[in-house]
Amino acid sequence: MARSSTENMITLMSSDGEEFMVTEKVARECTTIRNMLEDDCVITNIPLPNVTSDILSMVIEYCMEHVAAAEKAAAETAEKGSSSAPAAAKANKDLEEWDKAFMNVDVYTLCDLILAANYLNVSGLLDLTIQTAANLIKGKSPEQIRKTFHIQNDLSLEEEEKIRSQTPWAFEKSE
Amino acid sequence: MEGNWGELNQDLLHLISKKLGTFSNLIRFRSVCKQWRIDVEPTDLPARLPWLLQPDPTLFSTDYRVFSVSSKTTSQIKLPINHREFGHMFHKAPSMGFLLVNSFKPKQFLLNPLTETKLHIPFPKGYHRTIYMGPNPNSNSRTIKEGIHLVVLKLEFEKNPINSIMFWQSNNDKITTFRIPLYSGPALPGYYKGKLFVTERLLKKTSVFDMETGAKMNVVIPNPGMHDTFDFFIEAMGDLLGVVLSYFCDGDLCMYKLKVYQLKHTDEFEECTWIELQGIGDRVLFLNTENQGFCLSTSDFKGFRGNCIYYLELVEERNKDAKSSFHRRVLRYNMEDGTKEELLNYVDLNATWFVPSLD
Repeated sequence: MARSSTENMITLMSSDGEEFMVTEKVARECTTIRNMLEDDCVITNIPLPNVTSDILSMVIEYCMEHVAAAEKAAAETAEKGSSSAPAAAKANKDLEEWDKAFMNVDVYTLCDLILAANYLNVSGLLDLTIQTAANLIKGKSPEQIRKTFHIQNDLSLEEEEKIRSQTPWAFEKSE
Repeated sequence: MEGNWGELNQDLLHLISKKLGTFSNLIRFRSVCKQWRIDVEPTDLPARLPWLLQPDPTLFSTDYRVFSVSSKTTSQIKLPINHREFGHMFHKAPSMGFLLVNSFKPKQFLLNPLTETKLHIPFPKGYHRTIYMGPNPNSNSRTIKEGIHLVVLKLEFEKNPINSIMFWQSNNDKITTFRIPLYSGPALPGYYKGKLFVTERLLKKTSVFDMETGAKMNVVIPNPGMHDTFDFFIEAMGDLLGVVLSYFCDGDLCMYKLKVYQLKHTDEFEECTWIELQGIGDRVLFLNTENQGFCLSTSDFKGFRGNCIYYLELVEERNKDAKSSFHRRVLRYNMEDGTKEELLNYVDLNATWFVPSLD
């Protein structure tokens, strides 16, 4: 995709000191960064002390993919005067497939992505990661959920028994 | 960031809880560890549409079949009341998650079958029908926290039958009782804006009572048409709706036709008239048996169609010996085009709409 050479580049710096050069358009996918840019338009170097380099690179990958998809759709609309519905539907489906493949990560990475998406305020990524987490929880027993997410069970036997007796139907079989 | 799920903050856990879809998922999610239990409110429920609750046919069993309007599927749950008790709760008026149990006994209580919360109702012994049960309809938020209102029609079958209204408010545990003209229905009185609307079939009019004082107001609202008698009064997102079900037969095919009227009135109800509605917007009405119903707004439920009425039609079946047996079927009436769809072809006579809540 041709980019004009005058497009502003922003440097994002991860917590472990790695620098990522991205276009302003990609950086603006993060509402937190967009707000910074709007407050101070000459800023070109943004430190992100809460995000490690491997997670930041994934967030950038997500933003680039979504910006590219939006640009492609806009270009097609401009070219043909109007976007054709089947083409738009296919593009949407392709992007969904891409998202799905992108979510093929371990639960530690998923957790970090949720935190990063929340901190950087990337609404699409936050929605995607939260939905992925919810899908991992659905239909599982508390013990299976603990195992999936590597969580220690700190409830006492009495507490567990109490929860079960209050709503036994929730524990009998998954819906 | 360490990828530690046990340390996700409350906002994020809240977001996840909203996407779990079912009660069971939410309850199990809350049972994983202390932090999740504290951070995820039991009220963080995915918005749920009413269930149609019906007992499985064995007496004393505590298994119920649940038809979910949102997923159009039937599943099974256990509730803390058996079928005998369920059958006796003649007036299972739905509310925010409560069922009224044991109408026949002096001991009556509201039961949330999901949390097993019980609220004792200090009503005297007797036979009555539930007009309204739920959060204070005059409050803005309409949550249980702001108090529950319960309005029942008390029927007495003595030499001189009289009808009275009992109105209980959970906030002050106060009961107001007052007499009304003999109930002639078919619509149960409507509770709306602190007033009670009592329809009188033969006189083809509706009288209005003040709920706090029990005083009859100097207002008479004539029925909209000679042949239209109200079957349901429903408070619907700030309007009072009157629903007329007329049963008509076209050859062998007998069916209900539904008409909806809205009460147009001045602030103090000095002037009131019924106006027929062609549609009810994004609202959905649920008609129970016992001439009792309620309204939901589809704005709370993504992807759910408004402008329609769910109801339970009585079906008579004759066997070889010409003996009748009855059941019901669940239909949806679409106000936009007047069409009907059958959602379930056979449900128990005791089936009732129920709005699940963990409040």
